[in-house]
Amino acid sequence: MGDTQGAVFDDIEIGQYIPAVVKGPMTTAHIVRWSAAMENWHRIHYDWKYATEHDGLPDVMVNGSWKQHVMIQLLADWAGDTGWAWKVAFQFRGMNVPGDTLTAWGRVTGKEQRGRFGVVDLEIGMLDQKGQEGTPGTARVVLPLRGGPPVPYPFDPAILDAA
Amino acid sequence: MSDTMTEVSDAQAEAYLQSLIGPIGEEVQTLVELGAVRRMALCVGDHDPIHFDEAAAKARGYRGVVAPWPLLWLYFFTCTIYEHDFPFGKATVHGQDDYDFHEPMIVGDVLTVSTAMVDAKLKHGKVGRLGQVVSERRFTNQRGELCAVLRTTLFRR
Repeated sequence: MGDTQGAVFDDIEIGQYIPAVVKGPMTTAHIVRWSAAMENWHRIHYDWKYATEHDGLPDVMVNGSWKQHVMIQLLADWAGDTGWAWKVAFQFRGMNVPGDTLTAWGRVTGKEQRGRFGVVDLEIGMLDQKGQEGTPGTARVVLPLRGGPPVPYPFDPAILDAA
Repeated sequence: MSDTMTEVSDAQAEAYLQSLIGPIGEEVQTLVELGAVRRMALCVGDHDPIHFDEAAAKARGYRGVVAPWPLLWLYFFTCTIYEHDFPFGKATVHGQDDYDFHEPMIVGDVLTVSTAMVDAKLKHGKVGRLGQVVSERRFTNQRGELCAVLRTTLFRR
């Protein structure tokens, strides 16, 4: 990996929040651009009449995968080039619509040194402007030790068990 | 199919779900294209130059321009089978996604995408019968390196 220094395992404290990423207010342009980029043409993302009248939704929907990207961005920014966002899981529990401002957040729930690296567990999520959680999840990020080598890629979990 | 729950027994629904377990379709190969990578990074406002500038990406240790991870969803929608003709229930809900990341996807890579149903079960809850299926897509590059694994959970209710 490169040398853009991200978080260092030794500095991490359980309970700490990592720097949030804020996006929005969301617009239909955000949603349609994303739908086009991934070729997801489900009508709930661009057809207001279909979304509201057929599916009974309050508006066209912000794509779940867009929200996932922002949360991966949150983790990648924090880990930098020297760390590695290894595992991420999300549940879709809330809907987001144009006008929403979304804040991706993460909080450290556990840490463990394994071999020459550190493994950090986080709870993550995305709040809307009302503070409602819509995309709770968990993540596992591998970080370098202070003065240690960056996390190599391809990331092979076996390096965590090496002496 | 849109049979009501009374038309398909639990045993039949369970049998259908179990029949889904295993590989889905053939392996598919796809090229990681610069335009697709740039478009995806731009539309989420991710302006890290590793997604645009080959020199900047290489200076930071990557093999080339790096694809944002959710580009996996482009390949999900264009390269894999993702709809199931459930013989029960009325709506399919996207419930959860799980990712494992191993090797960055680089512009010019040729990915092999393999898809399989890895779990399928019938549940009964407060809202009645619920089918839960978990499909797994593995993305491997032309060097034989596993780039990512994406597991998607759908609920049929």
